[in-house]
Amino acid sequence: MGVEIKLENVHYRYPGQDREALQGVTVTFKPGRITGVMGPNAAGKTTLLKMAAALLKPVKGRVKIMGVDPWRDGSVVHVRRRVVYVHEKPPMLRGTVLDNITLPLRLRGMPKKEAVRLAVETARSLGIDNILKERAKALSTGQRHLVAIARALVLMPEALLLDEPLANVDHIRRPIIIKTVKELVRNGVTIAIASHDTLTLTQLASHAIYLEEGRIIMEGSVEDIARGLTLQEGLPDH
Amino acid sequence: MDSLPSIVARSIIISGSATLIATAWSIPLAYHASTHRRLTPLVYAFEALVGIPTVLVGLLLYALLSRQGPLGWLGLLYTPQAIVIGEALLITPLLVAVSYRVLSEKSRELWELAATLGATSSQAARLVLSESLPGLTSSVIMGFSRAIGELGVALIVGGNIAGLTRTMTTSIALYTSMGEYDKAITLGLILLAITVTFSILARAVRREWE
Repeated sequence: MGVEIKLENVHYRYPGQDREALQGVTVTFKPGRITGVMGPNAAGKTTLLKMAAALLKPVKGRVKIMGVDPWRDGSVVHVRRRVVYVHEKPPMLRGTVLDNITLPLRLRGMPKKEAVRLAVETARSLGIDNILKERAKALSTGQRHLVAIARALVLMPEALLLDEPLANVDHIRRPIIIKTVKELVRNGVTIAIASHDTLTLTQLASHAIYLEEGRIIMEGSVEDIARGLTLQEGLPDH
Repeated sequence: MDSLPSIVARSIIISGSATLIATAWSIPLAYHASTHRRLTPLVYAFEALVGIPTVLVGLLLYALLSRQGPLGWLGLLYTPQAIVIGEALLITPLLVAVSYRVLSEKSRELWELAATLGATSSQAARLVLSESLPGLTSSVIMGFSRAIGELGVALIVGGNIAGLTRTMTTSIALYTSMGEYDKAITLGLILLAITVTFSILARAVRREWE
Protein backbone atom coordinates (compact mmCIF):
# COMPACT_ATOMS: atom_id res chain seq x y z
CA MET A 1 0.00 0.00 0.00
CA GLY A 2 2.91 2.39 0.61
CA VAL A 3 5.11 4.19 -1.88
CA GLU A 4 8.87 4.41 -1.87
CA ILE A 5 10.14 7.98 -1.83
CA LYS A 6 13.74 8.48 -2.80
CA LEU A 7 15.57 11.79 -2.57
CA GLU A 8 18.86 11.73 -4.42
CA ASN A 9 21.44 14.40 -3.65
CA VAL A 10 18.74 17.07 -3.32
CA HIS A 11 19.54 20.72 -2.79
CA TYR A 12 17.09 23.51 -1.98
CA ARG A 13 17.45 27.23 -1.44
CA TYR A 14 14.53 29.42 -0.36
CA PRO A 15 14.12 32.59 -2.43
CA GLY A 16 16.14 35.44 -0.99
CA GLN A 17 18.24 33.17 1.25
CA ASP A 18 22.02 32.89 0.95
CA ARG A 19 22.35 29.47 2.49
CA GLU A 20 20.88 26.28 1.06
CA ALA A 21 18.26 24.70 3.32
CA LEU A 22 19.21 21.29 1.95
CA GLN A 23 22.71 20.55 0.73
CA GLY A 24 22.97 17.25 -1.08
CA VAL A 25 20.64 15.04 0.95
CA THR A 26 20.08 11.44 -0.10
CA VAL A 27 17.49 9.42 1.76
CA THR A 28 14.84 6.79 1.07
CA PHE A 29 11.49 6.59 2.83
CA LYS A 30 10.37 2.98 2.54
CA PRO A 31 6.84 1.53 2.68
CA GLY A 32 5.84 -0.05 5.99
CA ARG A 33 8.58 1.80 7.83
CA ILE A 34 8.63 4.89 10.01
CA THR A 35 11.62 7.07 9.33
CA GLY A 36 12.48 9.65 11.91
CA VAL A 37 13.88 12.96 10.70
CA MET A 38 15.83 14.51 13.53
CA GLY A 39 17.88 17.64 13.92
CA PRO A 40 17.99 21.06 15.56
CA ASN A 41 15.90 24.05 14.43
CA ALA A 42 16.58 25.18 10.85
CA ALA A 43 18.35 21.92 10.08
CA GLY A 44 16.15 21.35 7.01
CA LYS A 45 13.68 18.80 8.43
CA THR A 46 10.55 20.58 7.20
CA THR A 47 12.13 21.36 3.83
CA LEU A 48 13.02 17.69 3.42
CA LEU A 49 9.47 16.52 4.16
CA LYS A 50 7.97 19.14 1.85
CA MET A 51 10.30 18.04 -0.90
CA ALA A 52 9.34 14.41 -0.36
CA ALA A 53 5.69 15.48 -0.68
CA ALA A 54 6.43 17.22 -4.00
CA LEU A 55 5.62 20.61 -2.49
CA LEU A 56 9.11 21.97 -3.11
CA LYS A 57 11.08 21.34 -6.27
CA PRO A 58 14.77 20.60 -5.70
CA VAL A 59 17.12 23.11 -7.30
CA LYS A 60 19.51 20.22 -7.82
CA GLY A 61 19.15 16.46 -7.44
CA ARG A 62 16.09 14.28 -7.95
CA VAL A 63 13.01 13.16 -6.10
CA LYS A 64 11.69 9.76 -7.15
CA ILE A 65 8.34 8.53 -5.99
CA MET A 66 7.75 4.92 -7.02
CA GLY A 67 10.75 5.35 -9.30
CA VAL A 68 9.30 8.35 -11.11
CA ASP A 69 10.40 11.98 -10.82
CA PRO A 70 7.06 13.88 -10.59
CA TRP A 71 8.72 17.19 -11.54
CA ARG A 72 9.92 15.70 -14.83
CA ASP A 73 6.88 13.72 -15.88
CA GLY A 74 4.32 16.32 -14.78
CA SER A 75 2.61 14.11 -12.19
CA VAL A 76 3.02 16.48 -9.25
CA VAL A 77 -0.70 16.86 -8.48
CA HIS A 78 -1.20 13.11 -8.83
CA VAL A 79 1.68 12.43 -6.44
CA ARG A 80 0.36 14.90 -3.89
CA ARG A 81 -2.83 12.88 -3.76
CA ARG A 82 -0.84 9.82 -2.67
CA VAL A 83 1.78 11.46 -0.48
CA VAL A 84 0.36 13.78 2.16
CA TYR A 85 2.35 16.22 4.26
CA VAL A 86 0.91 17.36 7.60
CA HIS A 87 2.15 20.75 8.79
CA GLU A 88 3.84 21.39 12.12
CA LYS A 89 1.22 24.09 12.76
CA PRO A 90 -1.67 22.77 10.72
CA PRO A 91 -3.67 25.59 9.13
CA MET A 92 -7.37 25.32 9.85
CA LEU A 93 -9.92 26.65 7.43
CA ARG A 94 -13.00 28.70 8.25
CA GLY A 95 -15.97 26.57 9.16
CA THR A 96 -16.34 23.47 11.27
CA VAL A 97 -14.02 20.58 11.92
CA LEU A 98 -16.23 18.50 9.62
CA ASP A 99 -15.78 21.07 6.82
CA ASN A 100 -12.04 20.79 7.27
CA ILE A 101 -11.95 17.01 7.18
CA THR A 102 -14.20 16.76 4.13
CA LEU A 103 -12.22 19.41 2.23
CA PRO A 104 -9.77 17.08 0.44
CA LEU A 105 -12.65 14.83 -0.61
CA ARG A 106 -14.66 17.80 -1.89
CA LEU A 107 -11.59 18.93 -3.85
CA ARG A 108 -11.78 15.58 -5.58
CA GLY A 109 -15.44 15.96 -6.39
CA MET A 110 -16.72 13.31 -3.98
CA PRO A 111 -20.47 13.67 -3.28
CA LYS A 112 -21.09 15.48 0.00
CA LYS A 113 -22.94 12.58 1.65
CA GLU A 114 -20.12 10.14 0.96
CA ALA A 115 -17.48 12.69 2.04
CA VAL A 116 -19.28 13.30 5.34
CA ARG A 117 -19.61 9.55 5.97
CA LEU A 118 -15.88 9.02 5.43
CA ALA A 119 -14.96 12.06 7.51
CA VAL A 120 -17.13 10.96 10.45
CA GLU A 121 -15.66 7.46 10.28
CA THR A 122 -12.11 8.82 10.29
CA ALA A 123 -12.86 11.30 13.07
CA ARG A 124 -14.29 8.47 15.17
CA SER A 125 -11.14 6.40 14.73
CA LEU A 126 -9.12 9.36 16.06
CA GLY A 127 -11.53 10.11 18.89
CA ILE A 128 -12.50 13.54 17.58
CA ASP A 129 -16.04 12.79 16.41
CA ASN A 130 -17.32 14.81 19.41
CA ILE A 131 -15.84 18.05 18.03
CA LEU A 132 -16.98 17.75 14.41
CA LYS A 133 -19.37 20.70 14.72
CA GLU A 134 -16.90 23.01 16.47
CA ARG A 135 -15.22 25.91 14.70
CA ALA A 136 -11.87 24.60 13.52
CA LYS A 137 -10.04 27.85 14.16
CA ALA A 138 -11.00 27.73 17.84
CA LEU A 139 -9.34 24.36 18.47
CA SER A 140 -6.36 23.71 20.73
CA THR A 141 -3.00 22.76 19.19
CA GLY A 142 -3.48 19.10 20.04
CA GLN A 143 -6.95 19.03 18.50
CA ARG A 144 -5.61 20.78 15.41
CA HIS A 145 -3.00 18.07 14.95
CA LEU A 146 -5.66 15.39 15.17
CA VAL A 147 -7.93 17.21 12.72
CA ALA A 148 -5.00 17.66 10.33
CA ILE A 149 -4.21 13.96 10.57
CA ALA A 150 -7.88 13.12 9.96
CA ARG A 151 -7.86 15.49 6.97
CA ALA A 152 -4.88 13.57 5.61
CA LEU A 153 -6.24 10.11 6.44
CA VAL A 154 -9.53 10.54 4.57
CA LEU A 155 -7.39 10.55 1.45
CA MET A 156 -6.06 7.08 2.35
CA PRO A 157 -2.53 8.24 1.62
CA GLU A 158 0.19 5.85 0.59
CA ALA A 159 2.74 8.00 2.39
CA LEU A 160 2.22 10.29 5.35
CA LEU A 161 4.84 12.88 6.21
CA LEU A 162 4.27 14.31 9.67
CA ASP A 163 6.02 17.46 10.82
CA GLU A 164 6.32 17.57 14.62
CA PRO A 165 2.99 15.74 15.05
CA LEU A 166 3.32 15.62 18.83
CA ALA A 167 4.54 19.13 19.49
CA ASN A 168 2.32 20.75 22.17
CA VAL A 169 0.00 17.73 22.12
CA ASP A 170 -1.22 16.78 25.59
CA HIS A 171 -0.77 13.36 27.19
CA ILE A 172 -4.36 12.38 26.38
CA ARG A 173 -4.11 12.91 22.63
CA ARG A 174 -0.49 11.79 22.27
CA PRO A 175 -1.29 8.03 22.52
CA ILE A 176 -4.08 8.42 19.93
CA ILE A 177 -1.64 9.84 17.38
CA ILE A 178 0.99 7.22 18.21
CA LYS A 179 -1.56 4.38 17.89
CA THR A 180 -2.83 5.74 14.56
CA VAL A 181 0.68 6.01 13.14
CA LYS A 182 1.51 2.48 14.23
CA GLU A 183 -1.67 1.14 12.63
CA LEU A 184 -0.88 2.90 9.38
CA VAL A 185 2.62 1.52 9.21
CA ARG A 186 1.26 -1.97 9.88
CA ASN A 187 -0.87 -1.49 6.79
CA GLY A 188 2.25 -0.73 4.79
CA VAL A 189 1.97 3.07 4.62
CA THR A 190 5.25 4.95 4.23
CA ILE A 191 5.73 7.27 7.17
CA ALA A 192 8.28 9.95 7.95
CA ILE A 193 8.17 11.97 11.14
CA ALA A 194 10.18 15.11 11.72
CA SER A 195 10.61 15.69 15.42
CA HIS A 196 12.81 17.09 18.12
CA ASP A 197 11.39 14.54 20.50
CA THR A 198 13.92 11.70 20.59
CA LEU A 199 11.92 9.74 23.16
CA THR A 200 8.80 9.61 20.97
CA LEU A 201 10.82 8.74 17.90
CA THR A 202 12.44 5.91 19.82
CA GLN A 203 8.95 4.45 20.37
CA LEU A 204 7.93 4.89 16.75
CA ALA A 205 10.72 5.03 14.21
CA SER A 206 12.76 2.02 13.21
CA HIS A 207 15.15 4.15 11.23
CA ALA A 208 16.20 7.78 11.44
CA ILE A 209 18.39 10.43 9.93
CA TYR A 210 19.92 13.38 11.75
CA LEU A 211 20.19 16.63 9.82
CA GLU A 212 22.32 19.63 10.59
CA GLU A 213 22.54 22.71 8.37
CA GLY A 214 20.88 20.88 5.51
CA ARG A 215 23.12 17.83 5.55
CA ILE A 216 22.63 14.32 6.93
CA ILE A 217 25.29 13.84 9.54
CA MET A 218 24.01 10.62 11.07
CA GLU A 219 21.79 7.76 9.92
CA GLY A 220 20.71 4.58 11.68
CA SER A 221 18.40 3.67 14.54
CA VAL A 222 17.06 6.47 16.73
CA GLU A 223 18.99 5.00 19.68
CA ASP A 224 22.25 5.04 17.70
CA ILE A 225 21.69 8.65 16.75
CA ALA A 226 20.82 9.62 20.32
CA ARG A 227 23.97 7.84 21.51
CA GLY A 228 26.04 9.58 18.84
CA LEU A 229 24.68 12.94 19.90
CA THR A 230 25.41 12.24 23.54
CA LEU A 231 29.00 11.31 22.68
CA GLN A 232 29.34 14.42 20.54
CA GLU A 233 28.23 16.59 23.41
CA GLY A 234 30.61 14.79 25.73
CA LEU A 235 27.83 14.08 28.20
CA PRO A 236 27.55 10.87 30.19
CA ASP A 237 25.33 8.24 28.51
CA HIS A 238 22.22 7.38 30.52
CA MET B 1 -32.66 71.30 -7.60
CA ASP B 2 -32.02 67.64 -6.70
CA SER B 3 -33.82 66.20 -3.70
CA LEU B 4 -31.62 64.92 -0.90
CA PRO B 5 -32.73 61.26 -1.34
CA SER B 6 -31.86 61.34 -5.05
CA ILE B 7 -28.43 62.82 -4.29
CA VAL B 8 -27.80 60.14 -1.68
CA ALA B 9 -29.00 57.37 -4.00
CA ARG B 10 -26.87 58.69 -6.89
CA SER B 11 -23.80 58.85 -4.67
CA ILE B 12 -24.28 55.27 -3.49
CA ILE B 13 -24.81 54.01 -7.07
CA ILE B 14 -21.77 55.86 -8.46
CA SER B 15 -19.44 54.88 -5.63
CA GLY B 16 -20.82 51.34 -5.53
CA SER B 17 -20.17 50.94 -9.27
CA ALA B 18 -16.67 52.37 -8.91
CA THR B 19 -15.99 49.94 -6.04
CA LEU B 20 -17.22 46.95 -8.07
CA ILE B 21 -15.03 47.90 -11.03
CA ALA B 22 -11.96 48.53 -8.88
CA THR B 23 -12.55 45.22 -7.06
CA ALA B 24 -12.71 43.35 -10.36
CA TRP B 25 -9.15 44.30 -11.25
CA SER B 26 -7.59 44.93 -7.83
CA ILE B 27 -8.21 41.57 -6.16
CA PRO B 28 -6.89 39.44 -9.06
CA LEU B 29 -3.87 41.75 -9.19
CA ALA B 30 -3.32 41.47 -5.44
CA TYR B 31 -3.67 37.66 -5.65
CA HIS B 32 -1.09 37.40 -8.41
CA ALA B 33 1.26 39.72 -6.54
CA SER B 34 0.88 37.58 -3.41
CA THR B 35 1.84 34.44 -5.32
CA HIS B 36 4.49 35.91 -7.63
CA ARG B 37 7.36 37.54 -5.80
CA ARG B 38 8.48 39.51 -8.86
CA LEU B 39 5.26 41.56 -8.70
CA THR B 40 5.99 42.84 -5.19
CA PRO B 41 7.50 46.16 -6.45
CA LEU B 42 4.19 46.83 -8.16
CA VAL B 43 2.41 46.50 -4.80
CA TYR B 44 4.90 48.92 -3.25
CA ALA B 45 4.01 51.40 -5.99
CA PHE B 46 0.30 51.01 -5.21
CA GLU B 47 1.02 51.40 -1.49
CA ALA B 48 2.77 54.69 -2.24
CA LEU B 49 -0.32 55.86 -4.12
CA VAL B 50 -2.87 55.01 -1.40
CA GLY B 51 -3.01 58.58 -0.18
CA ILE B 52 -2.99 60.23 -3.60
CA PRO B 53 -4.96 63.51 -3.46
CA THR B 54 -8.38 63.12 -5.03
CA VAL B 55 -8.02 66.46 -6.85
CA LEU B 56 -4.89 65.17 -8.54
CA VAL B 57 -6.74 62.10 -9.86
CA GLY B 58 -9.57 64.41 -10.92
CA LEU B 59 -7.14 66.72 -12.69
CA LEU B 60 -5.37 63.90 -14.55
CA LEU B 61 -8.67 62.36 -15.59
CA TYR B 62 -9.94 65.78 -16.68
CA ALA B 63 -6.87 66.14 -18.92
CA LEU B 64 -7.62 62.76 -20.47
CA LEU B 65 -11.38 63.22 -20.90
CA SER B 66 -11.58 66.89 -21.89
CA ARG B 67 -12.39 67.68 -25.50
CA GLN B 68 -8.71 68.22 -26.39
CA GLY B 69 -7.56 65.22 -24.36
CA PRO B 70 -6.64 61.82 -25.82
CA LEU B 71 -9.93 60.29 -24.63
CA GLY B 72 -12.06 63.36 -25.36
CA TRP B 73 -13.79 61.57 -28.22
CA LEU B 74 -15.51 59.30 -25.67
CA GLY B 75 -17.61 62.25 -24.52
CA LEU B 76 -17.47 61.13 -20.89
CA LEU B 77 -16.59 64.42 -19.22
CA TYR B 78 -19.30 65.68 -16.84
CA THR B 79 -21.08 62.33 -16.80
CA PRO B 80 -21.64 59.90 -13.90
CA GLN B 81 -19.47 57.41 -15.81
CA ALA B 82 -16.50 59.80 -15.57
CA ILE B 83 -16.91 59.90 -11.78
CA VAL B 84 -17.18 56.11 -11.66
CA ILE B 85 -13.90 55.76 -13.61
CA GLY B 86 -12.18 58.39 -11.49
CA GLU B 87 -13.28 56.88 -8.19
CA ALA B 88 -12.36 53.38 -9.39
CA LEU B 89 -8.84 54.64 -10.20
CA LEU B 90 -8.68 56.52 -6.91
CA ILE B 91 -9.47 53.49 -4.72
CA THR B 92 -7.46 50.95 -6.74
CA PRO B 93 -4.20 51.55 -4.80
CA LEU B 94 -6.06 51.14 -1.50
CA LEU B 95 -7.80 47.95 -2.63
CA VAL B 96 -4.62 46.43 -4.07
CA ALA B 97 -2.51 47.30 -1.02
CA VAL B 98 -5.00 46.07 1.58
CA SER B 99 -6.00 42.96 -0.39
CA TYR B 100 -2.34 42.13 -0.94
CA ARG B 101 -1.72 42.29 2.82
CA VAL B 102 -4.72 40.03 3.47
CA LEU B 103 -3.73 37.53 0.78
CA SER B 104 0.00 37.47 1.38
CA GLU B 105 -0.62 36.62 5.02
CA LYS B 106 -2.49 33.51 4.04
CA SER B 107 -1.73 32.57 0.47
CA ARG B 108 1.52 30.67 0.99
CA GLU B 109 0.23 28.61 3.90
CA LEU B 110 -3.14 27.91 2.29
CA TRP B 111 -1.69 27.24 -1.13
CA GLU B 112 0.62 24.69 0.45
CA LEU B 113 -2.26 23.13 2.38
CA ALA B 114 -4.36 22.88 -0.77
CA ALA B 115 -1.42 21.45 -2.71
CA THR B 116 -0.69 18.82 -0.10
CA LEU B 117 -4.31 17.74 -0.26
CA GLY B 118 -3.98 17.30 -3.99
CA ALA B 119 -5.72 20.46 -5.20
CA THR B 120 -5.09 21.76 -8.70
CA SER B 121 -3.80 25.34 -9.14
CA SER B 122 -7.28 26.71 -9.76
CA GLN B 123 -8.72 24.84 -6.74
CA ALA B 124 -5.86 26.21 -4.61
CA ALA B 125 -6.55 29.76 -5.84
CA ARG B 126 -10.27 29.39 -5.04
CA LEU B 127 -9.42 28.10 -1.58
CA VAL B 128 -7.05 31.00 -0.86
CA LEU B 129 -9.61 33.56 -2.05
CA SER B 130 -12.46 31.92 -0.17
CA GLU B 131 -10.46 31.77 3.07
CA SER B 132 -9.43 35.40 2.65
CA LEU B 133 -13.00 36.54 2.02
CA PRO B 134 -13.50 38.31 5.37
CA GLY B 135 -10.36 40.41 4.91
CA LEU B 136 -11.08 41.04 1.23
CA THR B 137 -14.62 42.15 2.06
CA SER B 138 -13.22 44.59 4.59
CA SER B 139 -10.86 46.03 1.98
CA VAL B 140 -13.75 46.44 -0.50
CA ILE B 141 -15.82 48.22 2.14
CA MET B 142 -12.87 50.50 2.93
CA GLY B 143 -12.61 51.26 -0.79
CA PHE B 144 -16.31 52.13 -0.97
CA SER B 145 -16.00 54.43 2.04
CA ARG B 146 -13.09 56.25 0.43
CA ALA B 147 -14.98 56.55 -2.88
CA ILE B 148 -18.22 57.88 -1.41
CA GLY B 149 -16.37 60.41 0.72
CA GLU B 150 -14.15 61.90 -1.99
CA LEU B 151 -14.79 65.31 -3.53
CA GLY B 152 -12.03 66.13 -6.01
CA VAL B 153 -12.87 63.60 -8.72
CA ALA B 154 -16.64 64.11 -8.48
CA LEU B 155 -16.26 67.89 -8.72
CA ILE B 156 -13.63 68.07 -11.48
CA VAL B 157 -14.84 65.36 -13.90
CA GLY B 158 -18.48 65.30 -12.77
CA GLY B 159 -19.08 69.05 -12.85
CA ASN B 160 -21.69 68.95 -10.07
CA ILE B 161 -24.58 69.00 -12.54
CA ALA B 162 -27.98 68.87 -10.81
CA GLY B 163 -29.92 65.69 -11.55
CA LEU B 164 -26.91 64.10 -13.27
CA THR B 165 -23.56 64.24 -11.50
CA ARG B 166 -24.36 65.90 -8.19
CA THR B 167 -23.17 63.69 -5.33
CA MET B 168 -23.28 64.11 -1.57
CA THR B 169 -19.79 65.61 -1.34
CA THR B 170 -20.25 68.06 -4.23
CA SER B 171 -23.63 69.05 -2.79
CA ILE B 172 -22.08 69.71 0.62
CA ALA B 173 -19.47 71.95 -1.05
CA LEU B 174 -22.20 73.74 -3.02
CA TYR B 175 -24.61 74.24 -0.11
CA THR B 176 -21.77 75.52 2.07
CA SER B 177 -20.75 78.08 -0.57
CA MET B 178 -24.43 79.11 -0.85
CA GLY B 179 -24.71 79.50 2.92
CA GLU B 180 -27.32 76.71 3.18
CA TYR B 181 -25.60 75.16 6.15
CA ASP B 182 -28.58 73.10 7.35
CA LYS B 183 -28.66 71.14 4.07
CA ALA B 184 -24.89 70.83 4.03
CA ILE B 185 -24.86 69.53 7.61
CA THR B 186 -27.74 67.11 6.92
CA LEU B 187 -25.87 65.63 3.96
CA GLY B 188 -22.65 65.58 5.96
CA LEU B 189 -24.36 63.59 8.71
CA ILE B 190 -25.86 61.17 6.18
CA LEU B 191 -22.41 60.70 4.63
CA LEU B 192 -20.90 60.13 8.05
CA ALA B 193 -23.66 57.64 8.91
CA ILE B 194 -23.02 55.73 5.67
CA THR B 195 -19.25 55.50 6.19
CA VAL B 196 -19.62 54.55 9.87
CA THR B 197 -22.26 51.94 9.01
CA PHE B 198 -20.00 50.40 6.39
CA SER B 199 -17.08 50.42 8.79
CA ILE B 200 -19.19 48.58 11.41
CA LEU B 201 -20.38 46.21 8.70
CA ALA B 202 -16.78 45.45 7.70
CA ARG B 203 -15.92 44.62 11.28
CA ALA B 204 -19.04 42.47 11.70
CA VAL B 205 -18.39 40.57 8.46
CA ARG B 206 -14.85 39.86 9.54
CA ARG B 207 -15.90 38.64 12.97
CA GLU B 208 -18.73 36.49 11.63
CA TRP B 209 -16.74 34.79 8.91
CA GLU B 210 -13.50 34.17 10.70
